[in-house]
Amino acid sequence: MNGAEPMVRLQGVSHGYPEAGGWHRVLADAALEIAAGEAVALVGRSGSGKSTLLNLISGIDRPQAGSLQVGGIDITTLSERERTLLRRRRIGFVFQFFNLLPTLTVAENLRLPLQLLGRGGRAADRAVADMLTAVDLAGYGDRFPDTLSGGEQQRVAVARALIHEPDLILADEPTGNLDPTTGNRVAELLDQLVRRFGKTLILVTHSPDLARHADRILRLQQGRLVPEPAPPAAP
Amino acid sequence: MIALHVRAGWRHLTRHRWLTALSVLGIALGVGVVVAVDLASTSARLALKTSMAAVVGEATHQILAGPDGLPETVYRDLRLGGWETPLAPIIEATVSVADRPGHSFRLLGVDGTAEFALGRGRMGATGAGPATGDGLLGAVRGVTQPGQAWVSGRAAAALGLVPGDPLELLLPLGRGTVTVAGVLDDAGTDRDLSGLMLMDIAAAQELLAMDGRISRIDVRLPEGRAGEQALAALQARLPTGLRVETTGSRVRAMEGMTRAFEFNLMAMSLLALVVGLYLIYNTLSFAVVQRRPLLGILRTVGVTRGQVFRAILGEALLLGLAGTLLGLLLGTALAQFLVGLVGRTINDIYYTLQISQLALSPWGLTKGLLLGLAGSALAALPAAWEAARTPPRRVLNRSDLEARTRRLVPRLAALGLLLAVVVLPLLLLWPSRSLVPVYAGLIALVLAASLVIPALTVGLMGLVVRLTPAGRGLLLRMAARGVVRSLSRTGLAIAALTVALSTAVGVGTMIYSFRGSVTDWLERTLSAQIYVSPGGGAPRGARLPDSLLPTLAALPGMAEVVGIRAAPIDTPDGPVGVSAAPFKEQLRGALRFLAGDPATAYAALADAQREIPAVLASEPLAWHRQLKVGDRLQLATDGGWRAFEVVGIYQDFGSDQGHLLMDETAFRRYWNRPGVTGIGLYLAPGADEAALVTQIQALATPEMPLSVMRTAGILAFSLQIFDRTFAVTGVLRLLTLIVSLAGVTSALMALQLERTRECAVLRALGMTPGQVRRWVTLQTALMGAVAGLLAVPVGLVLAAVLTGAVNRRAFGWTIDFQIAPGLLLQALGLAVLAALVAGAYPAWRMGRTPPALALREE
Repeated sequence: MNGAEPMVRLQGVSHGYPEAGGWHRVLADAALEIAAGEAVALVGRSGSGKSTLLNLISGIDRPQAGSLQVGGIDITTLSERERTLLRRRRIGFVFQFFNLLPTLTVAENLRLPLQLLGRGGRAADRAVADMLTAVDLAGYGDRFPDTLSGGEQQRVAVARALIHEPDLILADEPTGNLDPTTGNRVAELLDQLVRRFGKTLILVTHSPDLARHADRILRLQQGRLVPEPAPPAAP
Repeated sequence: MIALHVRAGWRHLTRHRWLTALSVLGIALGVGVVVAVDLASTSARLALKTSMAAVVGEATHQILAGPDGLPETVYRDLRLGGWETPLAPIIEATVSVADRPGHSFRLLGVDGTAEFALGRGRMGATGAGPATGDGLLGAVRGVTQPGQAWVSGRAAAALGLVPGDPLELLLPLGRGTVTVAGVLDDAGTDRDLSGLMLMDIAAAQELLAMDGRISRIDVRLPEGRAGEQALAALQARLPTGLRVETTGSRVRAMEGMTRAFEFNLMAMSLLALVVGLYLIYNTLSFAVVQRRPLLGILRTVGVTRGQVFRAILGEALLLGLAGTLLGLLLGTALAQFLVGLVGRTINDIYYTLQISQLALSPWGLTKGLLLGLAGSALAALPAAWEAARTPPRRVLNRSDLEARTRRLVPRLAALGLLLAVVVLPLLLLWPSRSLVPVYAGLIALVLAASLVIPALTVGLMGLVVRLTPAGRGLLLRMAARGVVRSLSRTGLAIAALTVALSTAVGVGTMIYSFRGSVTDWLERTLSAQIYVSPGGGAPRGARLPDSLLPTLAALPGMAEVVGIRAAPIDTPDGPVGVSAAPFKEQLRGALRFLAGDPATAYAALADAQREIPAVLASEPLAWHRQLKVGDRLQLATDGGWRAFEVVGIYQDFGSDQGHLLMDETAFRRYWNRPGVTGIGLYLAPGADEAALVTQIQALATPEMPLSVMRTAGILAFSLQIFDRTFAVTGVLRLLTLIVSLAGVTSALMALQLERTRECAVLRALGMTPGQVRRWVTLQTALMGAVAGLLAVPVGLVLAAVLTGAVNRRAFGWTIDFQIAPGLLLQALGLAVLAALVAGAYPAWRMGRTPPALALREE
């Protein structure tokens, strides 16, 4: 990848869904560039298309028009399988509802992205242990997700999103299901880790406090991405 | 108007239409199998009744003697002696159509004049001869040409016969030809004339070489006290050796022969229904769990517990009704096929019967309807109760239910073990002769196994997780833990599959053991090298002339020729097959005594001076009639009732009704029945067996067709009949398996719906659809493997009960228990394969889960 190449580039991206009596346009000729290592917060009303944008960037969905590059690759030209492999290698997800796999232990949840990439053995064991320490959950490896608190589960989810060293982290309302205190802890952890490992972050949120962690805030409004002034720093 | 809370429920079912459809299909298959077996059995019974009704007419009693009938002078003397109630002489025999295997007739020789008095003259007929307003028997009365016969319309159509055609017949003794004089028309009567051939009595006597003899005399006696007096008067007027029986007793005796066979079929079919009910339970409990939030809200807005309970039960009844109605259609279609198999078994083993059509009895269909609805309501009770308990506004999630299920697992297992520990010894040791408690016990055992299955599943899955190396096989671990995590769903599917497979293992092992015992018995019993019997599809009980014995003995290389004389002989408890042969040295080794001393028994059999003649009773006969060595048995000889003493009990799989063996001399003394039913040929050392077979075959004539078989051929033929007998069981086993497959598919579909988010997360994390499919397939294979592994021990326990208790009580046979390793491996393989087939569609669906679902709000 060229060093000057943005991590994410959208040009003239349009997307919508059919609805009763017409077409609901979510993105209209949207354009965006996010540099590698940059943290961007995406805000907007419910239904404004934030999650749709994450789906498009992660290759889960394909835009109806325009081009969308991730790491210099135009993912609109990739097949379903190629998009899956891209996601596997280069993208980490943090979901609002944690979405840990209930049938795997904490350590196994972390090991899964590595295993999908064919990485195993002692190196994987070390990576899991290091990552658990990084999210302050050392000693939790053998526990199952349903024995953890919401905050702990989300920290595991953050660790899972980072463990396979993806270039891009997509976080969809990562604190939306947590109380403010726990949410703050998770947000700080995510911010800290993303910066420590030099990752690009796209964060979907309704929370101004969370958005404050980002380098840039974009508002999704009538299908377009509009820069938002940074909120005043917390007192 | 349908209440909104009810409508919400219906919509849930229609939105999950695959799951709903599988549930309906499960019930339909279950009900279909039960209805099909019931209809097939009822059709067989009805065919027997209606064909007997055609033969019996309005006769209330029959005057009978030995197997060769009675002198016609008895009839003449009664008539001339002024006997006033209606009487009709009858000749009855089973004859086969030459060169058309499988086509046989019940030939009735009747006296037209006498028949009118008995009310049998009203059936219509078309054809040659003066058949006019008087109906058929008028025609018979008017026909004087010998060899003319009326055949049933259906048989005529099947054989392509028209009046004037000649028809070659194989008779009990030899061969003969009749001319088709006309066709019987049974339309508009309740009599099934298919398989009936009617002749003038004199013509029948001539054809069957029964000069001066008739088979029986039908009598109509008045009802009540007058009838009793008339019966006493009739008995007083009859010569010694003749007896009077009610016509119903004959039909009842024939029905009794197949009762155990039909009962076993019915029990198998009920098992299919039980598996089908698992599906209803599964669908509704799933529907309730899915709708917990909705139910909570409904309760908040004022819907009562009773309303919720009734709504869920109503859904079950609707599903049950749809499944049952479909099941009735399926059952009727399946019965068309089963009736052929049932009929063939009855003809192979019990008696000659033409089941011309399926009898759609309203009661049979109503039973199926009630069974389907009641079963569905029963299966829905736990779900309805669960739904009614949902507290207002409390949104319980799936994990609550699973946690509760897991807490229940040890308790259920303990209950299952307790049930098995109590039931099993009772089943094997309880001194009852009835089949009902045995089948109740079998169902209790199946239930006990179902209760233990979840605990065993948890154990086995734990083992899989422990044995999977850490850091590898994450998918396998996920799959194994997934099975345990959704135990309320997977446990049911595994239980349904285990029940179906253990039934297959149980019945398969029973049949294998049975076949092994029958093979051993045949190898021991078939002590001669060549057997000769009436050939060319000769009717049951056909004989060969005695003159054949010296002809065969004169052939070169012949060491011994043993003629066997077999005939059904009446006893006060119904007819029993009696075989007689000279008990020469070779024959003695062929019998395995189960009671009595062989040396003493053979001496008694050979003792012509014995005051009470000796017989050997087969094991089933001894069982059914509770006979011991030393007991006496009344047999209807040509000279009237006579006691015979049981001097030994021997193993015999030839007849489930039982059989008697006696010395030839004694037989000939008490029954004047020329001809032999079979001949065993013992060859001298070095004799050319193949050349002898050819020589004997050359002795056959059109009048005396011969079947010449070497021992190996008889063995193969007998085992072929054995396998044919169990063909119905095979069909039922297959259907039960199909029902359980629907169960596995239904459970996996439910899981698929519940795990949509999990699948979406895996897809979002970078799993390809193929990998997701592999994960689901792995889980399905694990479920199949667990079912297969558990089906083996459960199946073997069922087999032990089937061989030790069911076969003993139903048929009186002692079977050596044998395990077929191939069958067990097959069950294991089939379990995994079946589960994979059942899981293919859900796996495909789960592979297609859009990853975007992981990002949506709940």
